Amino acid sequence: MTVRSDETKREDDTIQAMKETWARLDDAFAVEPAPLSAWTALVRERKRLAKRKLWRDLAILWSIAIPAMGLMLLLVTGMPPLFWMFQAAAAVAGIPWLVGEIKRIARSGGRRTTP
Amino acid sequence: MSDPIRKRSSAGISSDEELAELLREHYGIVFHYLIKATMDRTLAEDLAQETMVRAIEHYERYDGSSKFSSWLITIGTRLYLDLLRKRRTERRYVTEETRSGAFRFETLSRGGEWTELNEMLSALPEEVRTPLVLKHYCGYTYEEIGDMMSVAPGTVKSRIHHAIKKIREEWNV
Repeated sequence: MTVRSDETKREDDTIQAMKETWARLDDAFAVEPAPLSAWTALVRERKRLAKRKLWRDLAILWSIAIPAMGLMLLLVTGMPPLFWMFQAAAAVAGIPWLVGEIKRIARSGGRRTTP
Repeated sequence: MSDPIRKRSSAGISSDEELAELLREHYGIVFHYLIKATMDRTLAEDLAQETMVRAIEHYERYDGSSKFSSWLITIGTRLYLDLLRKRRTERRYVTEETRSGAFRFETLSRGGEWTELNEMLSALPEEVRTPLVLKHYCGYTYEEIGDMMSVAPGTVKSRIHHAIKKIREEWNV
C-alpha cells in the first residue's frame, strides 16, 4: 500500500513538474494574434478560394464525364464488342487500384484531416 | 484549459466576422498545444496557420458536439501526424538533435528556461509526446485522444504511462 501510494505520488510529482515546464514555455512563447480585420480578410479570402476550387473541380469533372459518357453511348449503340472490351479493361485495371486504395486508407487509420 | 466559447454549432457561426473572431480567440490555444507537441516553433506556427485555414474551409463540419478548441486541436493533431508520416515516407526529416538544439536556443533567447525536463520531453518520440501533451496539458480523456490520433484508447494509455515512467526514472523524482 505504501509502495503503491509512493509510486502514485512520484507520478503526480512528475506530471506537476511537466505542467510547470509547459506553463513556462507558454510564457516564453506568448502569442499576440493579428487584429480581427486581418482574420476577417483571411476568412473571406480562403472562402473565396475554396469556392473557386469547387467550381474548377466541378468543371473538370463534367468536361471529362460528358465526353466519356458520349463515347460510351456511341460504343454501346454502334460497336457493342468494343464497348464490352473497354468495360473489361476498365475492370481489370480498376479493381487492383481500388483494392490498393482501400489498403492504403486502412493503413493510415482511415483518418481525415478535419473531423 | 479555459475555453470561453463552450459549445457552438456551425449554424451558430453566422458571419465571416464571427468565424474570424472565434479563430482569433483560439489561435493561441492551438499554437501553445502544437509547440509542446512538436517542440519546434516554426513547425508549430505553420501547423497552427494550416489548422486555421482547414477550419475556415470545413467549418460547416463543426457540429457543436465538442468544444470549438477541441475541434481545432483535432485538426492540428491530424495535420501533424500526417506530416510525420509523409516525412518518414520521404525519409526527409531533421535530426532530433538539430531540432531540439534550435528549440532550446530559441526558448533561451526569449528569456525562457530550458531544464532537464524540457530536454527529456523534447527527446520523446512524437507519437508518445503528442498524447502526453493532449492528456496532461489539454486534459483530454484516453478515448478522446484515441479518436484524435486514430489509435485505440488502450494504446494511448500505454504510451502515456511508459512516457511518464521513462521521464520519472531518468529524472529521478
